[in-house]
Amino acid sequence: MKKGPFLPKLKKDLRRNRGAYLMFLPVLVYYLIFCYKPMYGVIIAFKNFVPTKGILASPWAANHGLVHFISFFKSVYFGRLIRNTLVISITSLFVTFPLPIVFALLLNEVRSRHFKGVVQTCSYLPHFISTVVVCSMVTLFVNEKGFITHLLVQLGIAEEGFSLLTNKDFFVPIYVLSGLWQTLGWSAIIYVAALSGVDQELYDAARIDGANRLQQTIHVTIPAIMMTIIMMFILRLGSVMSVGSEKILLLYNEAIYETADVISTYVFRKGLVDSSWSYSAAIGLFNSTINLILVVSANRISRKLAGMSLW
Amino acid sequence: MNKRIVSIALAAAMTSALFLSGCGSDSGSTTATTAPPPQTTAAGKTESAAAETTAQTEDTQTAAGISYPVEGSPTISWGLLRKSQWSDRYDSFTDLPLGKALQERTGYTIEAVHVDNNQAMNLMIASGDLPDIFTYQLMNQYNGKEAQAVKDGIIMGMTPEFLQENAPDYWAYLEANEDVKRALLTNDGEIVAFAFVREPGASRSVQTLMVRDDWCEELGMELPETADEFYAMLKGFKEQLGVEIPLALPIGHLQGALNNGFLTQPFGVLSRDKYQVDGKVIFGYMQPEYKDVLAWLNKLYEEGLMDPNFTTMDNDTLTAYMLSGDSGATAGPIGSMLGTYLTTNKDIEDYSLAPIKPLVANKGDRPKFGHMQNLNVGPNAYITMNCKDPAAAARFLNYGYTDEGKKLYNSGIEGVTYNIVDGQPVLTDLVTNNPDGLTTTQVLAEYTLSWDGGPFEAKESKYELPEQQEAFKMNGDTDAALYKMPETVIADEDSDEYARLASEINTYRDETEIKFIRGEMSLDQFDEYLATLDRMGGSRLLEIEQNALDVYNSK
Repeated sequence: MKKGPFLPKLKKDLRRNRGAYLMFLPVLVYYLIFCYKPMYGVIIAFKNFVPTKGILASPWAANHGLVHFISFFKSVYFGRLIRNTLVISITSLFVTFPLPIVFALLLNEVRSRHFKGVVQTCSYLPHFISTVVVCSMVTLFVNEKGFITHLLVQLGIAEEGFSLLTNKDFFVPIYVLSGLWQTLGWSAIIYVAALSGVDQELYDAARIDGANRLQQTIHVTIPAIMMTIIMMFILRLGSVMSVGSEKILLLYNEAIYETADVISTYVFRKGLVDSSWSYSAAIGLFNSTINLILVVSANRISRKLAGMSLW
Repeated sequence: MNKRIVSIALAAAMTSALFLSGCGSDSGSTTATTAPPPQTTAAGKTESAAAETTAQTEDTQTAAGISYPVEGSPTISWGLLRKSQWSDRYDSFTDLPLGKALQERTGYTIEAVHVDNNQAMNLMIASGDLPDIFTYQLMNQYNGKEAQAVKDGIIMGMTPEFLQENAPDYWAYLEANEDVKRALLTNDGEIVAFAFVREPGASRSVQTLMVRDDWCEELGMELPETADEFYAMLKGFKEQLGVEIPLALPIGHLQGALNNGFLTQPFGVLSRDKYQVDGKVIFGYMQPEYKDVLAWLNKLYEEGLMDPNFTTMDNDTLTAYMLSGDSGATAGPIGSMLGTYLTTNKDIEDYSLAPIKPLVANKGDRPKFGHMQNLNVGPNAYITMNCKDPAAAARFLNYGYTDEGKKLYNSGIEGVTYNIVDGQPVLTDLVTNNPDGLTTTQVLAEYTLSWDGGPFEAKESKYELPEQQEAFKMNGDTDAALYKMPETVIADEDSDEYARLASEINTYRDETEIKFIRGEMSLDQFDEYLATLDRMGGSRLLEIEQNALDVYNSK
């Protein structure tokens, strides 16, 4: 890219890529309204927020505004929440990150267009089912009379007559595997798209050099989509500390808080159930800060090691 | 070229995904509100009936001086929860026969502001964008209860002069019922709400233990009074009658039964929750004796007398178990459980349920504790600080404490839902044997607030069935009044700490209790549990409660 004053360059670019910028506009508006504007509300983490007084007029919290952070760090649930969040999130990462890539690679090898289309459509259908419905299905499958429970009882893994959701050891697998089912096809789309852009001549060259199918995949396909993989990985790392609350709220119960309660569900209970707005804002802010640190360091590491990075 | 199309398509897909997820994350607060159009038949019928009755009662002069309908057709916005009891048939409170009659009789135009659940209501309160009045249970849902909501400038604290002038009937009730008034008074001497109150002397016990007495008879047993008898009964159900899950208590009901002292008294703890003995606060779950309660429950669990899935069991499953004979004992409301089960199975010959008293240590003992609602149980009505004309709002809310208003809120519309027989309102067939197949509660939900609560004086619940009346009588016949914690107000400077401690300790207690019952933690670790509670600030929590009780007793 040529160096030069920013504004004239932007103007020129705007004129040249009108269509692309127009498409970008809704995204920009979305981020401004839903991501940047609410940041101002983060102040309540340092205050004792009283709804009617509003954000600015609420009094500052004790200990230089840090009292909510301190009480969270001191809380008996602190360690457990961090541990559960990390366990669920990292397990998810290891299962739901590589498998869509493998799936896309396999699809890429399929030569029948028709078959490929059917498989792909089936695989991303679950993405369009609402989380609430998915969770009700999961709950039915794993309750004391569910077919998954039945299967596991036959295999001697589970105990008969018990819902799997009352056993704390089963929660992470249930969460991760149902998540895999939900997202496999959808997450693979981006890789399928990247794969279709790989230059066919590279394959021809590899074939002439005597590479077989597997070698072609390893030496041509994967390097070609490496940038996409790294980009997606950095994005994923940024959310390692944020496990979505919706699905867990729908699946967990008091008996398995020990492995199922994560930061976001705790924030939900504190904020919306107990109405401790400031306390729950403080936990959320802490969580976001860690996420920011993670994504920045992942980007650094990737730049150092692979010479590729998001920015 | 090909590449460019792909990347544009990709960008579009990602953008739409962003929007989808954006919508998704908001959807929690506004779940499925689309209700089918209201049933015109029922509503049409009432409209004419409502008009008739209004004609009769026009210009009713109440004893203290407000005449309804009022002049000038004022408008009032009212925040309410949308209740499942009517939301499948009506869109709004103002479409209900009750809403229509209320508007005609008071002369007010109501603008109903509906929210779907407690979380949505909490959000509305947090947003500060409130209607003129709202009905809710702030005492359970707001940190520091109603007194704090007044301090935070959400609801209006009402001076006695304000009430005397604008809500004379309500004020007269409070004057006559000193203990109710005390429960609603802030430390600054202001009244916080138009409360859901009861006729003087009405019983406040509406929950009970219930068992299949026909099975007891079959086994040649008397109805159980002690923990051992109860255990023997469950054992008999299981072993001799082959009942799959003798005791069906989903976690919420189990905690309720423990809080009400139904299962704890044989072991020397009046309740799992807090109670008072001679002005001293006691937390049941912090007592060493509570170990025996848990040991007993653990025994029931281990021997398969209790549902192994009690932590995930939902109410539909419970109902199915109790109706089908998979279970023979449970605990819960006299109306919506005991009553519903008996009514649903009324045509089945070999089905019978009987209430029993809270379990006691020795046969024949009088229970010291039992279910007893707070005096200020709510939902109450509050005038918000957003209200432009509090006096008009107060005059509207006063209606529920006039004779006319009491009749409407309690029994609905005369000639439609009730007739006066021997000076007492008797529900008509429309309610008790509905032609459209609605349950009694569903019909009452269209015409009254008696099934739920609100700003009015409730008549003592008149249960239909003899079993229900029996349950009502025996659960009221305890010494709970002596031991029940009154509605104390946590001191201002303690309220943040209290909210934090209480929520953490309760979560720990609930979780650990389940582990003890399910045998995941051995009861040898009970001392560790007590030590952890103390480390978490259990004694400080007790101290705060004790201070609040001392202040209350000196008020």
